[in-house]
Order: sequence, then C-alpha cells, then structure tokens
Amino acid sequence: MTDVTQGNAYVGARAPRVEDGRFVTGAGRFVAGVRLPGMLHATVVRSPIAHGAVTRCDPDAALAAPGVRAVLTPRDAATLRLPCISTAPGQREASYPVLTEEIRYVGQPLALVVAESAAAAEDAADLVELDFSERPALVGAEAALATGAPLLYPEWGTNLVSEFVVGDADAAAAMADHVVELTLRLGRVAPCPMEPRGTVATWEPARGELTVWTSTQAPHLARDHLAGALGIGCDRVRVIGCDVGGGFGAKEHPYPEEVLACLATRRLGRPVTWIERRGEHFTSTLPARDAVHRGRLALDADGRFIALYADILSDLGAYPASVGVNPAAVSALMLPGPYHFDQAGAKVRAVVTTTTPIGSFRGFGQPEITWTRERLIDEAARGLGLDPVELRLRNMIRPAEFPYPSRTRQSYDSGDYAAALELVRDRVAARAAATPRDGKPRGVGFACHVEHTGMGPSAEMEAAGINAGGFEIAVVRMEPDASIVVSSGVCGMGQGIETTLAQLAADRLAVPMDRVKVVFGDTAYAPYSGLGSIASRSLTVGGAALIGAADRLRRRILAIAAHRLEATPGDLEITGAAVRVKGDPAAAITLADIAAAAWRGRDLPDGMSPGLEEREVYDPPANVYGYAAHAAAVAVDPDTGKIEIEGYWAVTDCGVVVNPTIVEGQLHGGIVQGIGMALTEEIAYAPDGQPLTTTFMDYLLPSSPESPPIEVELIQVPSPVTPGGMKGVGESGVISAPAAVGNAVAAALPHVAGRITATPLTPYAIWSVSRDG
Amino acid sequence: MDFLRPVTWAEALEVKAERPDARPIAGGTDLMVELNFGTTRPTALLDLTRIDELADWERAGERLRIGAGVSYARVVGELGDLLPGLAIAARTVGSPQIRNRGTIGGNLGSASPAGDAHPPLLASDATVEVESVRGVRVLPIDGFFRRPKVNALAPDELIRAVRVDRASGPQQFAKIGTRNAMVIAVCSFALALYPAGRRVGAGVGSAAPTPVRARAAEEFLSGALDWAGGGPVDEEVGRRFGALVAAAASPIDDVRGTAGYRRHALAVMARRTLAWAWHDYREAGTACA
Ligand SMILES: Cc1cc2nc3c(=O)[nH]c(=O)nc-3n(C[C@H](O)[C@H](O)[C@H](O)COP(=O)(O)OP(=O)(O)OC[C@H]3O[C@@H](n4cnc5c(N)ncnc54)[C@H](O)[C@@H]3O)c2cc1C
Repeated sequence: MTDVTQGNAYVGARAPRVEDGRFVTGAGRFVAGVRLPGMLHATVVRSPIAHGAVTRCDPDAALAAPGVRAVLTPRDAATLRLPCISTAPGQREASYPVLTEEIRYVGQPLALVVAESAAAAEDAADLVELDFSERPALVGAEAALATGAPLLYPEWGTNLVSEFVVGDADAAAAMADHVVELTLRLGRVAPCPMEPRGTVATWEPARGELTVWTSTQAPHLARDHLAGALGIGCDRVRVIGCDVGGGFGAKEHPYPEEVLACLATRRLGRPVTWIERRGEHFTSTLPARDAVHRGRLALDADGRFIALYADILSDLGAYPASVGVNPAAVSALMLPGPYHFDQAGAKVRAVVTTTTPIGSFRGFGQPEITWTRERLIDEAARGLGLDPVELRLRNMIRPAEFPYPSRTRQSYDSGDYAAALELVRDRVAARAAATPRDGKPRGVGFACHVEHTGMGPSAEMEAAGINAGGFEIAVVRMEPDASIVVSSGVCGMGQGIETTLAQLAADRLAVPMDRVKVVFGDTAYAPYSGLGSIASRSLTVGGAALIGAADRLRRRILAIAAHRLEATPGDLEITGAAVRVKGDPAAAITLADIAAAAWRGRDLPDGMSPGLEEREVYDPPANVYGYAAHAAAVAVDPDTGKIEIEGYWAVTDCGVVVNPTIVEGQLHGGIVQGIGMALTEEIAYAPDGQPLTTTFMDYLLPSSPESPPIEVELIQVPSPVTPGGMKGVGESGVISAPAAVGNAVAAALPHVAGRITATPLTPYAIWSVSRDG
Repeated sequence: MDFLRPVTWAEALEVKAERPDARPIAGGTDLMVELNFGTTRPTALLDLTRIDELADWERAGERLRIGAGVSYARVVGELGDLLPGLAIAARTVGSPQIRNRGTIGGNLGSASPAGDAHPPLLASDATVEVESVRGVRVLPIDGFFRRPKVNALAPDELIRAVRVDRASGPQQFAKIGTRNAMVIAVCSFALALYPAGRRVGAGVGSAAPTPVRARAAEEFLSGALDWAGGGPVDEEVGRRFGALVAAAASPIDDVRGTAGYRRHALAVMARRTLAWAWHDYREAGTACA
C-alpha cells in the first residue's frame, strides 16, 4: 500500500456536523413525519395486569366504532414470533411471540386497533372487551428464585433462564489478607431517546412488496427479522431507516408493534403507522440494567489485587427478549476492567419476572459491572487506609503488557490506563474553586473502566451465541463530476457518524468534505450490516471498511492518472481537485476529467474495468478496547440527603479521534445519562406488578441543574487492530459515571460508605442509609 | 368538546352558570396534562385567558388582590418585594415555560396537595375570592382545600382572585424534590413572620391529603421567639418547631419517599427556613436601629 498517501485535513479536526443543518432547521426526516396517501393509524391495546391470561377478547364494539378498519387480536397473530439476537446457555426459547394471550407484564401488547385517525384508534382501543384470569405477580430477581415463587412458565419448573460461569470460578473463594464483599444493585432504567419508536408500513399487493419506514439503529436486522416473522422473502421487504432522534440501544431490533403494523397493512392494503406514545415507552420499550451483583474483592497485605468475583443475578423481565442474558454476560466478560487479578470470574444467572423484558441500553452490562468493581475497590481502599487512586494505580495493566489477555478471555489491544487515571487525578487536584463553608460533607470519587467496542469478529460472535455477523461493508463511488458518495451499513442516530465517515473519506481521497455525501439506512441501497449502529462499532468497524474502500478507490484513481500522465502512481498526489505529479504542478489532470472518462469507459489502463466504485468488507480480526478514568466531586446535604454534583472529569482514550467535538458530545451525553442512573432514574414496580413510573413526572431524567460542568480530556493511543486506529466511544461516558458518583458519595459519607450500594441515590435513599448507619 | 371563550368576567360567570360542566382553563399546564393522559374528558372548556382583569394584580395600601390569571413569571417579576414567600415558591415552579403559562388561580383550581403556591398563601393568611352569578364569596385559604384535588368551589363558581396582605416581615419557602427542577415536590414548607403581631404563619405542602397549616407549630414559635431582643433562636426551639411542623403532616409512602422521610424533611425545612427568616428579621432590626 505504499502508493497510498493520505491527506489529514479532516481527521482530528472539529469539523461541523453535516447533519445538524437539517436537524436545527426542522428539516430532519423522522418516521412520524412520513405521511402516505390513505395512511391508517394504529394504537396498541395493552395489558393492565401483570400476570395471567386473556379469557375473552371481543373486538366487536371497537370494530363498530367510527373510523375503525381492523382490530388484530392474538388469534390473528398466533404464529408470529420475533427472533432473539443472542441466546444464552440453557435458554429454552430463541424467539418470542408478537401477540399472545398469556400475560406476563403490564403493558404487554394484546391487540392492535387500526383506524382512520390516531384519535379514532385510541378511542376504539377502550372498546376492545377483555376478560382476564389473574395469577400472582412476581417482582424482583431474588424473589424469582425463592421457593414457592409464582412460575411464569410452569413447564420450565423454574424461573431461572440461564446459569453459567465466566472466567475463574475459584475467585469466589480465593484466600487473601483482605476481603471486601458487597451486594450491589444498578436499578432498572429506560433509554428514553428524544424521538420515541415508530413505524410506517405499506404493502403493495401488485408488487408483493412491503416497505417499512422505521426509527432504527439497524435497518438490515429489522428487515431480516420482519421478513422472517411475516414469512415474506427478504428481497420483498425494504426497510427505510429515517433520521433517528436517539436510539441508545432501544432501537436495535424490531418490536412486536412493527410486526403488527406490517400485518395490518398486509390485511388492509393501506399504509399503517404506529407511533409510540411517551407513556408507552416506560412499559413497551425494553428497559435495561436491573442487576444484583454479589461482589467479592480479595487483596494481599500490600493492596495487590488477588481475586475478583461477582455473582451476577439479572432480572430479564417477562422473557429473554432480543438480547436477553447477553448484557449480564458482558458484565461478566468486562469484570476485571483495567487491572491485574490473579483470578477473576463471575457466575451469571438470569431469571424471568412479571415486568417488561429488558434489553440493550448504552453501556450494555458494563455500567453494572463497573459499579460493582469500582465500589469494591473504594471500600477496600477505605478498609486498608489506602488512597483509592494509589490502590488502582498499583494494580493497573501497564502499556508494555499489550496485547493483554484478561482472565475473562478479552484481549485488550492498547492503552495507557494509568496515564488516564493520573491525568484525571491531576485535573481534580487543580480545580480552582475553594470549598464553600456550608458544613456539607463533600467527597471526590474515581472510577475506571475498559470498554468492549468495535463488535466484532464474526467467528467470535458465533461462539458467544450472537446470531449476526460483525463485519461492515462500505462502498465508495466517485461520480462522473468527481463528487463522492459513501454508502455504509451503519446508520445515524444523532451520534454524528454521517460527519465522521465523510471526514475519513475526504481525507483518504484528498477532497473537500463538502464533496462527500454519506448515505445509509435504506436496505434498498445500503450495503448489508448484520448489527447496524450498536455496541460502539459504527466508526471502528464501519470506518475501517470505509478506509479500505476509499484507499482502493484512491489507488484506482492514481492508476488511471498515472496511465494518462505517463507517470508512476508513486509520483502522484491528489490535491486541489486534481491528480498532480509531485514537484511538477503543471503536469496534472483533474479528478472531474478522470471521473467523467472512467464512467464512459475511456482512457483506462489496460484491463481496468470502467467506473469508479470500490467496496470493502471489513470483518474485524479482534475487538478493540477503549477505556477511561472518571472523577466526580459531590456535596451531600446531611439533613435532606440531597446530592449535588459539583464537578466532573473524564479522561478517555478512544484511539485516533476523528472529530473531538463529536467525541466530547458522546461523552457529555453518556456521563449525564450515567448521572441520571446514579441519582434519579428508576423504573419502579409495585409488588402487584404495576409500574409506578410511567411518565416523566415520576421517571426523572437528569436536567440542566443536575448536569455539572464536565471536563473531558482525550488521550490517543491508536488501536493496532483498526485500520485508522479508532476504538469505540459511544458508550464510554455512561459506563463509569454511576460508579464515580457512588464513590464520591461514599467518600463524603465514610461512616456509611459500605451501604452506598444501590441506585438511584435519591435524597430519600441517602437519608435512609445515613439514618440507620 | 365545546370551546367557550368569554371576553368579560360577567360573561364567564354566566357561561359557568349555564354550563357548570364546563372546565375552566387558564394556563392549561395542569388541565392539558389530564386531557393528554385521558384522565379527564370535559364536555366543554371555558377559556379564561381573554379576560384581561383576571391577569392583573392590584394594591390598595397593604392589601393585595392577585387575579387568578396572574402567571408565576409575573409573581416572580413583580411581587418579589411585596410577597417574597410566594415569589420564592413561584421561582421553583416547573420551568420557564411553565412559569410563563401556569397561574395562581390554576394552582388553586387544581388544589393538588403538591401545589407550590399553597404553602406561602397559607402562611400569609390569604383568602380566596370566588364568584358566581349568585355573588362573591371570600373564603379563608385554610378551608379552601377539601380533599386531594378538590376545593371549595360550587359548580357555578370561578376563582376571581387571591387576597393577601403584603409581607410585614420576612417570608421563606423551601421544597425538596428528587430532582432540582421540573419535579413534584417530595414536600414543601413556607414560613411568614409577622413582627408587629409577634406571630408566625406556617404552611405545609405535599405531606397531607391537602395543603395544611401547622397551627400548633405556629403557636409554639410565636411564643418562643425573642421578638423584642432579636436574640438568636435556641437550637431546641428550632427542633421543637420542626417536630411540630412534621406532626401537622400526615404524609404517605410513595415512589418519591416514605412518610418517615417526608416528616423528617419537613422538620429540616422548618428549621432552615426559620434560621433564614430570623436572620432577615435581625438584619432588618439592625438596619432600623
Ligand atoms: C412540566 C410541569 C411542571 C410543573 N411544575 C410545577 C411545580 O413545580 N409546582 C407546582 O405547584 N405546579 C407545577 N405544575 C402544575 C401547574 O403548572 C400548576 O398547578 C399551575 O399553577 C396550573 O395553572 P394553570 O393556569 O396552567 O392551570 P390550568 O391547567 O389551566 O387549570 C388547572 C385547574 O384549575 C382550574 N381553573 C383554572 N383557572 C380557574 C379559575 N379561575 N377558577 C376556577 N378554576 C380554575 C381548571 O379547571 C383546572 O382544573 C407543573 C406542570 C407541568 C406540566
């Protein structure tokens, strides 16, 4: 590849986001804005009870209501199922029903009402007559394993879905001078993207084709799953991913509502739309976390980490849904973080309860395990009288040790973990503000993590029970006027990938960014992607594919130019919209000239085919691992228990930074989400299985007063794995934030530190802990 | 659903007499939420926003009359000196958008135990002026709240205004929420000092089926403060006052906190607002001397 020189005007630059123009002027194309002639509106009838069965479902009154065109009930969809993306050892079902009379959570879809307007559909939804037989609810993972617990699937004889060990089982009993044990919980939270889920489906009988607009992170996966559920060929289903107002994992797969909308349009021959209402989000979109970890950290007398063990109990909700047990498995795989342990291992158990099934959410098991590991380390430091930062530094993996094989089968590729922690410590020490003299206890907490990114090698995913390939394909085309079109299988959900892919392509082809257009999201045009934009992989995997394709295209352009200029490609460079002979600027040929000729099949070197289009498939040889060190400074109101975050710092390495503004934005957003998890957010259920938090009045997202000033610093150790050197960063912010806040609160309240174990740390929770302490 | 838009107060009263089922709508920040959630389906809405005089306040000597349609934003901007307790409370309501639209009359109309205007109005002896075609009634605010979300209005009555004296001494307000803003209070508390009468007013929110006055706490504190000397408040007095305020509440357990926490937090807020208000009182005394 010696003939490829690359421009570097854009990689590393704070290039303005190309997608923002349309977003801030209201010109984004979101699914709720798709209006098709004759479009009908659907609303979902949901279960008001947590557990039992539908004994009667009578749609007649609803069907007779004005404007109603159809009511779909479980009988209409008896055989329709959606597949799980990943399955765990022992998991009995690899798919789940779209509509069933067996009820296992409040909010479960029971029927779909389709009418001429959303209002008519909603009015008629109240008229669907339902009778139920009720069974006792089951709330809480521990309760699910208690003897005599109601069984969700009596035929299983247990509520346990899966149980397996990762890494060293012996870590549970490792002997050492010091042992710290805590039971830690990260509460159940909702992803809450600003744009709710939604879909528009239209069946064209004459063509036998289904077109589905949907708010998705993974258009091809949506297509494959919808086609499979409906029994239509993949070639007859086109999914058009629109602009997406945030996904956070919640939109990585199709839900029953999408299948039902497709079913309805096939029945009725008219387009059907379903748009999630905000209140539905809290019971119908998969929430996440909800894990109880019994953690154990063993240290020797010098504070060397001997063993780390976590007994992980995951509350899956009503059934293992698309990703099921996988977040808990990732918790186990990422257990060791950036430290050495002689032994590290976890037992994973996952149970069903009568609550909404959990799913994927930014961080995917990693905030949970970071909360566990980092809380244990701080309590160990307190017990040993050691500085928590020193204790961490003493045990960190050093740069010379990469590639580093973790005790849980991860091969960390690169980094300088200690440098990140030292830098964040220095930043905290350098903070200007004098401590106010208001008598409030204050504390600073640190947390570090290693993030699993860039999923992933397809073979490794197969071994992990993930039913999708991990590669990406990029197609780069220079049009006859020398403008560039990049097509990618990843897609935009607000994270800025449209911009960063354009930056990469512009640099590789040495053209201005505004000559590059990035297209994705439409399965009719985009190259296949098994996973789409999830798992901090868009830029590492999608970008690496693009670099490969762009480099090929560049070589092709240089070969054509060399042919025409009678030079060798190595003497050529692309600059100023032309290919020039280095050192002889007069000897040049414009890109437009080359492109026009190439698309006419003229002036090509012998044997070269016409056109200027290249394609690259990149199946990553390995995962890549970003990391970060975070610190939070908090003040606690000793009387009310209210926590205020007064400062926040994050030092992050995601390898080569293509656009610092975008990376900082990802980190700010993730950190604030993590702060929400730490302080205010929780999906709560009453013992009878009724959800208690179904509006933004009860489910409290962090708002601007809860968002502290955040100082982000980026260090760049390029990944040796990824062409381009990138590591993922989309989830980084959220992973350490709860732990940093928790450690800060524990530092402020040392007398009850060992009881800071569960989120959210609401005023009431802190008061309860300090009062009984 | 009919949408009725009277332009004068008299017309509004007539409409309400004819259509007692019509739900008044002012800022709509409570009512629209109910409509969106489908918890209410009124047959008619009676829009009060065209009636200019409702959105004004007036002053005659020490007496203030605040129209039902006065927004929180205007309370903050215009009544900060005259009614500091209500203004502090208004500043904590919702977000700028909610403060621009939400009104005092709407807060009384909803009669939520968590309404933030209620504790300061209770502490400052306000009365509620209600009217129908049958005439005007002036109700002490104490008796205005009947049950959770039910007030003393007859079906044909509308709230015209709140009547309240301008502050004759320091006033304070505090509330606790799980989040800093845009949140239903876990509990709230307002305190008003009346130096001339050597007495205090204390209003409690979010900690009982209705907003309540903490009478026993008021009586105790009125007698325990060193009004003449302006001497510091004994710690024990603060504690006792807090305990009496907490005792006035009959809170519940919910997702935001237990009854025990609410009582505790009320006592804390009572002690704190007392410390702030007494500080202001002593400063004012020093300034005069
Ligand atoms: C996001 C958000 C945040 C909020 N935050 C807070 C908060 O922090 N603190 C707080 O206290 N409240 C809060 N609220 C609730 C609401 O803003 C207040 O209760 C406000 O005072 C209602 O006033 P309004 O003019 O909007 O009332 P509307 O919604 O118009 O009416 C409320 C009720 O009063 C009745 N009504 C209105 N005017 C009259 C009248 N003149 N005579 C008789 N009945 C009448 C209506 O029929 C209705 O029942 C919040 C609401 C939202 C949506």
